[in-house]
Amino acid sequence: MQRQVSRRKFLKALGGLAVAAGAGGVLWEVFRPKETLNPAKPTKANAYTQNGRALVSIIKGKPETDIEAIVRRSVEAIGGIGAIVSAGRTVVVKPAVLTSDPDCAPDPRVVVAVVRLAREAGGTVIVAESSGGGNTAYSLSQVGITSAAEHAGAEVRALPSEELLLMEVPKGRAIQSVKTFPTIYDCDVLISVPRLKRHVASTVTMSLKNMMGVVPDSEKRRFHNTDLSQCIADLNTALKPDLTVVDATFAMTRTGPTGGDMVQMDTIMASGDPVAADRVTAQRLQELEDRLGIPSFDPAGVRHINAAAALGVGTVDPSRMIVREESIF
Amino acid sequence: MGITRREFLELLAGGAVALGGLRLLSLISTHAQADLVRPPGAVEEAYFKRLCVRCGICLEVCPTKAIVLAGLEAHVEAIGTPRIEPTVGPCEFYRGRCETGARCAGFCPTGALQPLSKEEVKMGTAEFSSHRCLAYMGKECIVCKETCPVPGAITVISDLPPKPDFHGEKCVGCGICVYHCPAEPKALTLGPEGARRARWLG
Repeated sequence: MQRQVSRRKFLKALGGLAVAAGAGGVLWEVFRPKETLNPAKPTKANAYTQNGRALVSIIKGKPETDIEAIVRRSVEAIGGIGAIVSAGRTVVVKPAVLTSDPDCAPDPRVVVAVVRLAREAGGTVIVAESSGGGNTAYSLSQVGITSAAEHAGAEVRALPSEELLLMEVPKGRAIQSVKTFPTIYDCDVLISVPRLKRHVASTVTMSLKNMMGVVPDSEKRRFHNTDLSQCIADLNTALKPDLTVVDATFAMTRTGPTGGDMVQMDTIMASGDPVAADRVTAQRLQELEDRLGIPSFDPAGVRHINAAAALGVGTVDPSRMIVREESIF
Repeated sequence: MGITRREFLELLAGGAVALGGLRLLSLISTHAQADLVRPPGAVEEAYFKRLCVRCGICLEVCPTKAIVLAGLEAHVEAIGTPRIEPTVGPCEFYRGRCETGARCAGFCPTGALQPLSKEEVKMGTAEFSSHRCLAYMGKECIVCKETCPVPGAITVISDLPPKPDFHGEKCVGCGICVYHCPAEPKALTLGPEGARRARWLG
């Protein structure tokens, strides 16, 4: 049994298929799910101030001092966790985990101390990250944060597995909108936990630069293609941490964010103002490098810190901060 | 509807001519690559092509899905053999996100890929085009250096903005920098130059 297809029939079928494909494409354009632009999160004032000046604490311990005690003191010194976390709040702790190298990430004990503090204040704690340099879940577990944070009662989320959400950046200069993750958009309190580090491209990487980890890789690529420092500042106008706890138990000097020389400082610095935190910690890093004879940088000239200050994220003006420095042994 | 002996032989001859033609074409074409970036532990290329049975198990087991099957970009005899495609995923064996001895090599049924240690791996070399590099365009980007797992393979030229400098002799060819390069088109490609192949002792 042979079925004959005439040339005419064949061409007709071909034409029909082309028309159907075209119509399908048009229908898809019309009915495809549109990306909704979500409004920016309401901005909150710095909860840690005194007479309108931003508080920054610098607490130094000794190598044998319990790291958790230093972290607790650093937060207490500016006013305690209760100023931002109350019962039933969802708290996201954002460690800076670039790769699976533990030197790059904050010490898991610092993350755990922050998790415990937030939980004691009644918060539900999520440790969330979107690593820039590889698989996030793998990096989080390799640096020891996953097991430590889960043991402390937090949920650990690798953000890249989440759906994306487009958010407005009303104050942005280089970016007007940004994609982020529901965990970040829906949380009540955001706590940034970076390590004190040098960075070859952005000079330093602390709290402001840490916010690169609440956006997907596609946005990080866009930032690098645009103007990184301005993008970091813009991002922080929309997603600003309520508290920054900088891990300077060991600081990365000379180069970074990977492969620098680790210098023991046994220090934790905390602030409700990420710009003030970055400005003060950058100063400390520069002083440390000066003492070690490492060619350093101008802490008043870090572009993304100054750009964030210009957009009103926080202050770089020393007369508008109060630095509380203590040693606990 | 049978097939005559004549038709069968004609088909056979046609196929042979087509294959020969493709091979000739790949000699002329500048796009066809004689050498491919092979998964870690690959034996020398001549043996590799003979030993690899194109089963695709290495693709399946790769934790980062960095392995793809070579298509027409390769020479005819290499079509269907595995190669590393860093734009799909980097090989994270050197960095440690794989099994001891490399997962692909552990599962290879014919020994075309041989288990090896982290220190032995050298799949190729990252090739850098400064005219596509964002840092060389004056932008703040040093993502390649940030993500490179090999000490000293990428250093930084202190300049404003800082620029990356590549040291091919230290590069292990994992493709992590290529994967993360945010430039469009990418300023980095992964080539098979300098690859260290395992000895076939079969």
